Amino acid sequence: MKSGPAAKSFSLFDAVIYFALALILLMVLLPCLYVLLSSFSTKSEMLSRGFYLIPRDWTLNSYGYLFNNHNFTASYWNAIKITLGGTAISISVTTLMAYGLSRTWLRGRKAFNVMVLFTLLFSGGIIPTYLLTSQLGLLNTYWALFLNNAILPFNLIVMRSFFQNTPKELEEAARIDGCGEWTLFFRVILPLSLASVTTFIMFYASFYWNSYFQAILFISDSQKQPLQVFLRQIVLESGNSLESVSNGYEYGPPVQMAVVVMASIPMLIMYPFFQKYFDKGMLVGSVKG
Amino acid sequence: MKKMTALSLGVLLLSASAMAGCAGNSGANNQGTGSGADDPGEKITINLMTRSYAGGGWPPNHPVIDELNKRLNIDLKIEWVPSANYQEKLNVMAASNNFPDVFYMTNTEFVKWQAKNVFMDVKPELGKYPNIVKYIAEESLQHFNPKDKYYGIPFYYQEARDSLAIRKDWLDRLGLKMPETVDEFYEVAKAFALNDPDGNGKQDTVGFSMEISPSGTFGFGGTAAFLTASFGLANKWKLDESGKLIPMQVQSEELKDFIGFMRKAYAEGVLDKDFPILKARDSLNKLEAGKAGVANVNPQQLFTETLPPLTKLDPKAELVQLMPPAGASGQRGTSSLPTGDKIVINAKIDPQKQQRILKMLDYMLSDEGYDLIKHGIEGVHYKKISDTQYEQLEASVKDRQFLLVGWFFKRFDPMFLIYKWMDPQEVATIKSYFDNNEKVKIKNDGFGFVSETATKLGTTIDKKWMDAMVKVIAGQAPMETIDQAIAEWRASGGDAIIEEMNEAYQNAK
Amino acid sequence: MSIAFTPSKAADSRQKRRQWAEWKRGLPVYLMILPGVLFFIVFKYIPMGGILIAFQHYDPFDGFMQSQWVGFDNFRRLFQDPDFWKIFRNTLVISALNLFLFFPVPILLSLLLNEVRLKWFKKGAQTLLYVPHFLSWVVIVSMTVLLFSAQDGGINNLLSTWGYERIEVMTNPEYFRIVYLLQVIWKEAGWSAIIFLAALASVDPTLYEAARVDGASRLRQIWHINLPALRSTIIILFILRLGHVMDTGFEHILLLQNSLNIDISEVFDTYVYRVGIIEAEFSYTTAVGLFKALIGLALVYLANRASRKIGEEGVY
Repeated sequence: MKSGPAAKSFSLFDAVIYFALALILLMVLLPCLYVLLSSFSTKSEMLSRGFYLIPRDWTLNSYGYLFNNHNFTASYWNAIKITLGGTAISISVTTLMAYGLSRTWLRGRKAFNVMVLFTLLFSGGIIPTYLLTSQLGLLNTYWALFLNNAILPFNLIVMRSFFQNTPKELEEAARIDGCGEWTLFFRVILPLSLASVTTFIMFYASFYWNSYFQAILFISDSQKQPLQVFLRQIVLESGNSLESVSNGYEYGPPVQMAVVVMASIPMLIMYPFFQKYFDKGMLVGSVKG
Repeated sequence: MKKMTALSLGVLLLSASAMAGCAGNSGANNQGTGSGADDPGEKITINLMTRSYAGGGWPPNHPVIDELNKRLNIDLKIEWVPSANYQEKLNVMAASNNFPDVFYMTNTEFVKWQAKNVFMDVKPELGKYPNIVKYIAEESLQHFNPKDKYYGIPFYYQEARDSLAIRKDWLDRLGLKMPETVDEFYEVAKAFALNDPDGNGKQDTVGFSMEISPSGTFGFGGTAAFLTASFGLANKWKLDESGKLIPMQVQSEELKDFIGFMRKAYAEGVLDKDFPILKARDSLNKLEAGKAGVANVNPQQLFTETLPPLTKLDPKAELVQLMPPAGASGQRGTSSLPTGDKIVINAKIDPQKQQRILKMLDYMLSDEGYDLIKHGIEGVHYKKISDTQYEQLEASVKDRQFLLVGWFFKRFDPMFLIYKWMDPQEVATIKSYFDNNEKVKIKNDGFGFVSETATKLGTTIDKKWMDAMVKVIAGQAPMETIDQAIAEWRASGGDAIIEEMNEAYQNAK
Repeated sequence: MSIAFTPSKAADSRQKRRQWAEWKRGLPVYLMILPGVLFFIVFKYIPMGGILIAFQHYDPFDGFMQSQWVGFDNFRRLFQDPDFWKIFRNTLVISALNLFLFFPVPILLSLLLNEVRLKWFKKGAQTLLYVPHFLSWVVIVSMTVLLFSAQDGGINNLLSTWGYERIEVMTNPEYFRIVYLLQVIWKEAGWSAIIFLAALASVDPTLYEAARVDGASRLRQIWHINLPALRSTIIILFILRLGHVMDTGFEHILLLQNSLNIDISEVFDTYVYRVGIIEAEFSYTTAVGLFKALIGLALVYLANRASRKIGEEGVY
């Protein structure tokens, strides 16, 4: 079953909706198409032609450049590891705390909420964080990334708000049945909140996938660095590097596009994969009367 | 709310004291007591840190590292930090008192921290290391150091690397000759912009381009960098007739001439209308794309990056070096960009390790060592065909064996990216570019001197000054703005900077 | 909590039992939040002492305790900067653009998407719409330049072949804000819509049935069912955004900034980036950060109170 309104026929309203979305999609996708297709271009063509969609000279040069660079493949794999590990840890800790704080009867709740909010706005900066991480012996490990980001205050606050909005009737019904807090959480509330939990899984995944600055700060072994470190250098440096001097593959703007494409792929696969959970939300345990 | 304030203050104080326990440092923790003599039989671990650029650094068991380890009996561990964040990394390392053994030091931090007893003074030791002495310029060793101390060994930048190059085929097609003066240059650029030099019937070419403070370094970049001297503008600082240092920012008359020239060029469509938004290398990109007829090229990339795409687009394209055009009184010049960055050795490590590091650095500059870190290993990265002919091998592409030379340490030699397997004709062309540049090189007379005010707010007031100049060139502000900008620069710290620079200059005499 | 004064001991022990029952009920929940609370204490609050360097002239070698204390000097320096008000104004304007012009877009988008009945279209559209979120600003700005550069941008070339004047989008200060806003919308609207889609996903479908039976049109259904469902999410997100009113992110703006639009485009984050990172003035940047956070805090406090008045939960 799916959520959303279910009408019988195709109305004017529907036509407007589809038309508007198609237009929006076009505007959104055209530039993205440029990025994708120009990654198969030559440097010469990219520099001389302005904005184009179909390259005149197709080449796999950029991808050859990337896949022959050991750092690319290593950092790609590292990014996957960091994303999986980090997301697992963060979503668990965040969900538990968000749920806990959504219990309006909890004593001290307001104090905890303020504590969380404060950290959204105020922070000590990179030096104390670095010193702490160093003191805890976490330098040069991925735990430095996982533990420093176990909870993103924004995610916690919004998730908590989602939990607070689950219908009370179901909760009461479960409590009458003698549910304890944990059972209530796992058996009742969580299944209802799949949409929000998946949303934040994706938010965390995106966050970890994009880790750049903290990785540079905490990780000194370049073999452990994640993809964004490699990517940003390629994208930001316009050619002052010594790269192509004795490299078999030509370096230039197409390579920058290719690396962006490669970096986006896992994230793009993510959503359709999680999409089905979005529709599962409300339907478990419907309320009748 | 009061309870909250009290609580939050308490939390802050608590965490501050917790941090105090962690942070800070207590003087020297390992000022070696040994005799300092190095026993070559002992294997020593060396932690090296340097900047990395596009493509990243080496994996740990790279063949060149293995070879160095073997030859010097060391265990070399390299940490490659993206250059964009290198300074931040240095700062957190300083805060946690945790520096590597030998590392690259950016100029700003080098100047700030040299008095903190963290860098080893290598001057007394240099006598033992002949290659360092031979291949590193003495003058550069001295730059940015107090008298009689060398807190590090300079990293070599080619002083006058870039040069203007011009499309000879376009000149021929339009019936023009090589421009020698700025006026001729203007006419040629105008023709390039308006007279369809590539013959494709469209007006899609630019006269010349420039970049503003490319990559953050203050100044007029791109093609403009080769015109400033023609108008008498200093390469940052110059000594005037009375022996005083004056900066480009206050050369009112010369600026009016230069900016006026640029302003006219912009208005008449000779100067690229996009110049305010161009980033580093964009001028050159336009040349490579066949959109510009003159730009600043990097001779080292001439045959690898610049000519290939260009000749692909237009097989008849021909690039020729163009010397900076002469100004009204015949002046011309290429700005020289000496190096201020250093490779430093941690002052607090074991003296034996320090000696071994110096030995390693010395080896890297020796004939055998330099050959290794530049070309790699014979048979692996290249093969010898005869005494004068070599051929690059596949592994070289994958291994990128030149990274230490490129990003860490090298001889003071402009041909450092010229490999022995390159085409001798190409090598000769590149060399001629460099030799010609040497002849017109203009020094920055104030290089090596530090002004405290400049360190504090130099970047900010320079940026404001430059923003004003750009507005005048683009016709968005009148010429009077130039003097206004100069006055403002002076008043908000410029005068203090001039004074401090001159003081430092006098003290060093 | 008000305590009724009863002299009897029975009442006291009843009180105690009640409190004990409450704690007992709360115990599993406290266990649930324990890892999170520990996290906040260790990884957020211990380092928070670093804020104090805003009152110092911090030198990484001297550390926190030994660095010189300068009181409010750093703040004085900020307020006395001749550009302070200009930067403040620019930052506020950009935030206002984000708050009032960007913010509604993902909401509208999510409502649009929610109305789509063809599953494959909905799924496909949702995925495609958030692709731009993963492109870096460098790529986006350089594409914009490709299209709009005054010298040879694609759009400008078209304009000039049709006989129109070229427009200087990238350098004319008047275009800056609009270019910024459109780029932000293009990049982030799709991704930001996800949260609203999640909220819409938990609407009871029987509500739509009931509404249709009552003869409500699709638009009315949206107004009476979808929007209320989004209400608390919208409010929470809005309040949180207010907390970041002085944060504009610097990378995007830095890329769009140039000498000609600098008067409009300089914001706190770019200012801090230049002074703090490039000139490594940690104390000063922390002071600026503290200033920004205090303003954000004040706004959050006010907004939270307002949201309470209309019956919403608020952020604390």
